[in-house]
Amino acid sequence: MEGMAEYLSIGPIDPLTSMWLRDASLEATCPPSRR
Amino acid sequence: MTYDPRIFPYRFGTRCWPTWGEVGDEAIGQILQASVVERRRGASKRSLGVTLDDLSSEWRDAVQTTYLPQLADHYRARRIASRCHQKALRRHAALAPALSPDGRRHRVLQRKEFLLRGSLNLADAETGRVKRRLVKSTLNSNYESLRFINSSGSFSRRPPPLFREFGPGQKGPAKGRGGDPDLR
Repeated sequence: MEGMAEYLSIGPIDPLTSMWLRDASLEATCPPSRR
Repeated sequence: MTYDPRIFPYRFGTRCWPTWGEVGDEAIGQILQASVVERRRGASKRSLGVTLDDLSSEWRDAVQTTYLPQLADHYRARRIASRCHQKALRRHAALAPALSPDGRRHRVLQRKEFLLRGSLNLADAETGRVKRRLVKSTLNSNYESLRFINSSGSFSRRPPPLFREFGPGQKGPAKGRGGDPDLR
């Protein structure tokens, strides 16, 4: 359950996580769903 | 959310929970409880009423919808800096960098051989070339996480002392405790 401790302690918005996800959105490196 | 060996999902996992929690944070407890008796795939279906693949798609959509508009307010890092670990990242990760006070060196955790096994290296801040390995990891499954966290590096900002006592027969400070600011 990766990230749960961070979510429950920091909350849903975290600048560092946002930085990672902006980069993932831009580079299209979000994990794809396996179909 | 679904298994992809190319991606270590820790940072993405943080953002998963707000998506899952949109139906209420109590859903998190339901998923965890259901995961005890059945796999994640079944736990998702039972707790949220959607399959894991659908949930994964919703999560990716939520990430794109939330973060893509933010890009207009930010400029690319390459505009003001250049990557110094680009070549290294093809084979292994470089984590938790700590820049020296003079900005010329940085300490970085690098893993090569195994997911969480790595070493704490001193590298050039501009080129990323490793100058010295400061801490070599050991493999102990009982303390893997603790060792990993405790190995994060930083630079001392204290100036070196003016006078220092040396031991009997010692001509200079012991390596790692003396004048070399890299090792303090």
